Formats: sequence, C-alpha cells, structure tokens
Amino acid sequence: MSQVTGHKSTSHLIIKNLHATVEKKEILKGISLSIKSGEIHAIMGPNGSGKSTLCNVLMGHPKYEVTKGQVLLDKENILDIEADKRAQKGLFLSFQYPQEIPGISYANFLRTAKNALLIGQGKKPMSVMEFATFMKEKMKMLDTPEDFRTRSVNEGFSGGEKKRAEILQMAILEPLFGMLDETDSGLDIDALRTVARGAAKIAKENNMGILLITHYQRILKYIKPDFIHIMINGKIVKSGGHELVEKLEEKGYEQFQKLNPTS
Amino acid sequence: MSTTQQKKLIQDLDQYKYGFSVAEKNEFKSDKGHSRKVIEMISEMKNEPKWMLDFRLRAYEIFLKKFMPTWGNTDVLNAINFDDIHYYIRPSGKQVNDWNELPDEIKYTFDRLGVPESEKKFLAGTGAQFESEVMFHNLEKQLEKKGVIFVDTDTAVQKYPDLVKEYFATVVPPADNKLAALNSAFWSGGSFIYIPKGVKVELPLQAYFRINSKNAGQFERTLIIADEGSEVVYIEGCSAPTYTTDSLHSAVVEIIAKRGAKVQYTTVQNWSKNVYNLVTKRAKAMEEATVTWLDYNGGSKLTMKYPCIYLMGRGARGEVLSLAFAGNGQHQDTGGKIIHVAPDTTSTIISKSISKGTGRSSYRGLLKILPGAERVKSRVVCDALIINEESRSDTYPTMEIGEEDVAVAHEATVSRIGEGQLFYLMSRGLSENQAAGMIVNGFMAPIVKEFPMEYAVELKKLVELEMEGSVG
Amino acid sequence: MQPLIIKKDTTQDIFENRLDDRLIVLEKNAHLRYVLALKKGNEKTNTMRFELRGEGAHLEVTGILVGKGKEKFQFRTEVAHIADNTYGHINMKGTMDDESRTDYFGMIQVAKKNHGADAYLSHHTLLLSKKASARSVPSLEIEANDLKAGHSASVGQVDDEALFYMKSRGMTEKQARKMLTEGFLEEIIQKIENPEIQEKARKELNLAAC
Repeated sequence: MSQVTGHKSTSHLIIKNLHATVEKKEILKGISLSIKSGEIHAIMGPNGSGKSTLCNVLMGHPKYEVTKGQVLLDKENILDIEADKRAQKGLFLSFQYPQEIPGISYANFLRTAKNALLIGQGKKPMSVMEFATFMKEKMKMLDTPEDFRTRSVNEGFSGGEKKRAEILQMAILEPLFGMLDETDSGLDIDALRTVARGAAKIAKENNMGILLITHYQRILKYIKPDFIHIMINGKIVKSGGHELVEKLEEKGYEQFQKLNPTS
Repeated sequence: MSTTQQKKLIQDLDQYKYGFSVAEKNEFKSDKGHSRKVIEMISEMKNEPKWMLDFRLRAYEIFLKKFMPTWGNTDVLNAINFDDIHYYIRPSGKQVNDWNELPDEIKYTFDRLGVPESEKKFLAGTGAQFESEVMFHNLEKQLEKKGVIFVDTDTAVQKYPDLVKEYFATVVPPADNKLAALNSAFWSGGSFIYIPKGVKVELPLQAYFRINSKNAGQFERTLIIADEGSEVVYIEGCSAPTYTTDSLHSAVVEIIAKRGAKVQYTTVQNWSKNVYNLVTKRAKAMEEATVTWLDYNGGSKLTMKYPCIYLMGRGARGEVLSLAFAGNGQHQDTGGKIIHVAPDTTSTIISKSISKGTGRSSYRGLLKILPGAERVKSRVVCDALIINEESRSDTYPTMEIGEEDVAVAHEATVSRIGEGQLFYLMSRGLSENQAAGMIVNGFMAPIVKEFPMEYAVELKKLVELEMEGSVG
Repeated sequence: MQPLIIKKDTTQDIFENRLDDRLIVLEKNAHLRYVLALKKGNEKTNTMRFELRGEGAHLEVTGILVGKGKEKFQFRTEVAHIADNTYGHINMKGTMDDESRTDYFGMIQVAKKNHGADAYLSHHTLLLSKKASARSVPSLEIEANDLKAGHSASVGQVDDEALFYMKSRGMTEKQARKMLTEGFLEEIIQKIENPEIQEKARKELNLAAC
C-alpha cells in the first residue's frame, strides 16, 4: 500500500522572511527556513517565542495574518490556499492541543480525510474495506489500542492518547512534511518513547521532512535532528547542529537572548 | 472580631440598618392618588416648559390604558394600590452644594447613610435625592471646566433644554410598559449626565435616593449621554425607612453610549421591605461602545428590573452583572436583556442569586440576535443558591436567534450550600453559620469584586449578617 | 388528556417521530427512556408533560431534530418532580437548515418538600443557513433546596477550531461541516441506551452511524 502513496522524490519547503500577526500583534518577525525531504529540523525556544504560531501559520490557521514573506512548497506559494489544500499538497501538523470532536469515530474521520487527500492528489479513493486494512496495518506499526477506531475523535482521550493519535494520523495521511508541535509535552517517559519512536519511523519510511517544535531536549533522544534552530521573540537567532543542544543544556536560552535585538 | 463586636453586628442585623426615619418637613405633598391635576401641579411647581407638560399628560393617558405586566410576581403586582400613594413630595429647603446648608433632618439622614463620607473618599460628583427632589448636588470643578454636566434632571430641563429634548425618552418611550408610562407622567429628580467627547471621568459619580415618608412614590428619571470616546462610572444607592404600609419606587434610566464610549451603571439597592421597586433601565450602545449594568438587589418587597442594552453599532459590547439576595418575604425578579442589532457585537450576562428563608429570586432574561447581526458572541450564566427548604428560585431565560453566524451559550445551575464545603470549613473551627456566610460570599465574589471597594466591603458584610442564623 | 402511566418498577422505551401533546406519569421506580427523532415539525405548539409522581422515578428524554425547508418545531416539555429522589434529564439537539425553525420551551419544576431531585435539561442547536432560526427558553422553578438542577443551551455554528483541525487533515470545508454536523447529532444518539432505538433514530433522520 505504501508504494501507492509513499514519496521517493525530493521535495523542498522554503520559508522566506515570514511575518505574521494575531489580533494585530506581530508574533513572527521574519522567519526563514529551508527543509528538504528526509531532513529533520528542530526549532527550540522558550515559551511565547512564536514556535506554535509558526506551525499554525504554515498550516493556514485563519486566526493568523501573514503580513510579509513567502512559503514555497516545491516552488509553489501556498500562503493563498486554505488548510485542506495545504494538507493535499503534503503538509501535516501534529497539534499541540488536538481538537475533540464528539460523535465521529476515528475510522470514519480518517477515511474521509485520507480519501479527500487521494482525490485531491488525483488518485483513486479507498473503499471501506481497503481503508480498514490500511488503518489496521498502521495501528499495528504504532502499537495503537484497537478501540481507537471506534472512539470519537480525541474525545475523552488522555494527553498521551491524543499525541499517539496525532502520530497515527500522520502515518495514515502520509504527508511530505510533518510539523510536530510540542508532541512531547504532557507525556510521561514511556509514552514519549512510543510516540517519538513511532514518528521517527514513519518519517524515515516515507522520506518525510520533519519540523520538530520543542521546548525540551528529551524528545531529541528519539528523533535525531540534522539541524537545530533557536527561536526567540519571533526570530531564529541561531542555527546549527547538535552542538547547540549541548550549549542549551549548559546555559539555557539566556545566552541567545542578546542575539535578538528586539527582545 | 471580638464577641462583643460580633454581637453588636448581629443586633444591627435584627433591624434593617437603613430603616430609620426623620420628621417630615415638606413644602408640599400631593394628596394620595394620581390624576391629571397632580401632574399639572408638579409641572407648574417646577416651572416646566409646555413640551414637558404635554409629554407628561400623553404618558398619563398611556398609563391609564396599559395593563400591568403579565410576568413577574403578578399576585404582588396586582395588589399594588395606585390610589394609596403620594405621587409628589417636595421637602422644605432648596438644592445646595454644601452638606451643612441642608435642613437638619435631611443632613442627619444622609450623614447616617454615609453619603458625605463617600463623597469625600472616592467620588467625583454626588447628588442626593430626598423624596421627590434632589436636595444636594456637587461636581468637581475641574470636571465642570471640561464640560461635564452632572445635575438633577429638573435642572437639566431648565438649563439644557436642547440636550434634554434630543435624548429624553428616546431609549425608554412612555409606551414601553405601564410603569415606564407612570414614571413619564410623574417623574421628578434623578440624574442628568453629559460627558463630552473624549473626556474620561476617573472617579465615579454617585446619586443617592432616599424615601422618608409613608406611602411615598418616588419616580426619578435618569439620563446619561456619553459622547464619543468618553468614559464614566455612575453609582446609585437607595434606601427607605421600614413602615407597615407600602411605598412605590418606579424609576426610568436611559443611557446613550456613543461611538467608543464606556459607561458603567452600578446599583446598590437596599430599599426597605415595604417598597415595590419596579424599574425600567435601558441603554443604547453605538459603534465600539461598552455598556455595563452592575446591579445588586438586596432590598424591597418586590423588585422587577431587567436592565437592557441595545447593541446598535458594530463592535459594541454589553454586559449585565446581576446579584440578588432574596430574604424572608422578598421577591427579587431580576435579570437582563440584550438585543444584538449590529454585527460583531458581544455580550455577557452573569446572574447570581441567593434565596433565603421564604425569599424567592427569579432570573428573567432575553438574549436576542436580529438577522444580519453576524459574528455575534454571547454568553449567559445564571447561578442560584437556595439556602433553605422554603426558599424558591426560578430561571426564565429566553434566547431568540435569527442569525446563523453566531455563538450563543447559556448555562444555569441551582444548588444549595454543599455539605462537603460546610464540613470542611467547620472542621477548621468555623461555626456552621460562619461557614455558610463564607460560602455565600465566595459564591457572590465574582460579581462583588466588580463593585467599588467601599461597596464590595459593605455587600460582604451585609451578606454575612444576613446569613447569621439562617442555617442549621 | 388521558395520561399514559409508566407503572411501578417497570422500564419502558418510547420512540416517537412526530410531535404531539402528551401527559406521562411515572410511578415509583418507573424508568422511562423517551426518544424523539424529528424531521417533521408541527402547526401549533405541542406540550409534553412528564410527572415524576413516584419515589425513584427515572426519566431520560432524548430529542434529535433535523430541520429542513420550512419545518417549524414548536414544543414545550415540562418535567414535574413531585416525589423524592426523582431523576429527570432532557437532552435535545437540533440542526436547522434552510428556513427551518425551532421554538422550544423546557420547564423543570421541583415542588416543595421534595428531596433529592436530579433535574437537568440541555438544548443545543446548530444553525446551518442564513434563514434558519431558533428560540430556546430553558426554565427552572425550584421550591426545594436538597437537589441538583441545571440547564445549558447554545445556538451557533460548527466550531471554527474543529473545522480547521479537519481541514488540516485534508477534508474540504463542505465535508468537514457535514461531518461535524452529523457528529453533533450522533453524540446524543450514542447515549441512547437501547441500540435498536439508536438505529431507529438514525434511520428516521437518514443519518449514518459515524
């Protein structure tokens, strides 16, 4: 099945000088970033630095207004299209706080979403049976409890279950780029390990580009980033490799504060 | 607090704190009952222009034709004897702006009620009405210089006839309801406020309304015009002596908040338990304006009052925060009405009521969204606390939604003092009544904290006293 | 009107697909599960009165309304708690499309000297078109203090954040709205205890199990 939807070619997500506001307050103050298939980028920063905003802006949340800049997915500007079209182009956001949607089972929700994607990509939708088999396979891979299929979307899920369900969605929807917005927050050590390993595995199998948003270092044990970016007050103040994590461990974010003159 | 202090407080509670009266010294008191003649006499004594007399007489015709409201406590309403009331009482003496110049008995009354003290502490302007007339009025000089007008409404008719003509009865027309018609016919006193463009009055303006004699009718009329971008907080307080016969208080309040203006109207209602309090309060909020009705009702025999806000302009905000305490024999029938006329308007109604002994409190509300008022958000929350087995609580909220693109939520709960909470506090050494008082205060706190500090303290005290001996 | 009596110690399911006047009396420990699945409105207001006359009487009312065209749903429910330890919960959900309208008055009464009542009412409406409208008056008259009582009501559209969530998974706006609307109704259908009645309700309203 994954041959049908997997992606072997290289895609490129480019963010150029992105500025965005919410309720007239500027949160993103010029973000530039380039992510290719197979690369894992981690954005780290203190609370309120704009990390979650970046994810939501990239996904097209209507609450945020882009005031300047471009986001190109394989050379196509995606800022003018709505969230569903962005999803069809291959973007995926694992939400920090996933919505609860009563009355709709996960199986129904995901089959509708998967088929919308397939149709959007000019492919043939899956039948109920085909999808059931496909979903089962992914659930097995992520060691997901069987009752996820029939439970209402995220309703009454624990924090860990919600995050696990987000990663399951990523596995099923098979995007080109996955943004993981604080997927590690609210998880205990065991849950973190399962979720993070699962995400890393899916990313690898599908040659995905990953944008990992985190506040702590512990998830980096399971998802090894190729690039680390430090974000402070709406700007990326420092980019580099794993050595930045060590610096952070030693001295925290304060050492980077002065790199952003507006903070 | 020492035991002796506490005992004294409890004694105070036994008789309603504001229940005293002073000897009547009137210049004029109309005979009991209503008639065209009484209206003509009022108008003549006030030396009113003809248009106002005509307005009164038209309103009187409406009063005679209209039926009593068919909601609320109709048994009590229909028991009101309109022929047993003095419609106009003019005390001796004239209006002054120095407390010391008031006639002794009036000065004594307001001193005992603490009105001059409040003025000194935290007010920018004060009016004090005794029976039908405003006897004291004062406004900070610097506000006067900025063009702020704060006078009694009779003075406004004489001094600012154009302003009065333009706005008077535009928010509450006489035909609104029978009692609004009654007020329109017999009105006397009340506050007239005009805040010029952009002027922000930082300290509150206050008016105190006192009924002194038996079988009195008080019909003050208040009109507040907040011009563009201005801000004002107005506070009204009221009380009356305790008598075995009934008095009638029926006010009309109109507020016009122009573009971007902010008006907060605060009421601390402590009428004695022989007063019918039947009041019509309405506001219009234009573009980006905010109107808040902050309403405490703890006195009267029956209160029927549902402060209303018409959200007329885009982005206007309306808020009704209502707190009611119904003790033995009282019925507080209160609530709020919000009409969303314009798009992007928001509103909140929060009502908290306490019914104690044979007291009854009712929430009656309307939330209406007209077609075309898009992106409206509104939230209504009503919580009722029932203290005793013989207490009663009603909730009658109406939501009338004619527009799709809205978010309206309503919630109500009725509960009693939780046994768990009570036990917890008692395990820390509080008596059952102390604990109950504390829980009730906690229940009221979200609204009480919105009052000016001086009143918040008083309200908390009142409730603690009311709760003494109420449970167990 | 002749009352329908739910006898002492019995459990009964009632399914209705039209509005009518009703008077139903619950005796001691009687248990009634009353389901209304409505796509047809009425011409004039109907009243359904439930009297919980016996100690321990237990009433659950589930109402699902699907309004289309010019259907009007004008009705009143009254639940009178007139014995100790009675339970009465009403849950209503409706979606109003086109020019349809719901006009609902829901009264809960707890009479004097009744202990331990558990009374609740909810009424939630989604408006799906410009010309649809809703009126809701959830009311309480409580003359006892040893009880639990409350209500909640809302009128609005599908939740924006939920809509964004679903769109971010690739669904079109139309698909997401449809799914959220059906999920909104399904949520209370799932709470109907009897699975046969659940199916009946879905069938009546042309809803697929989600």
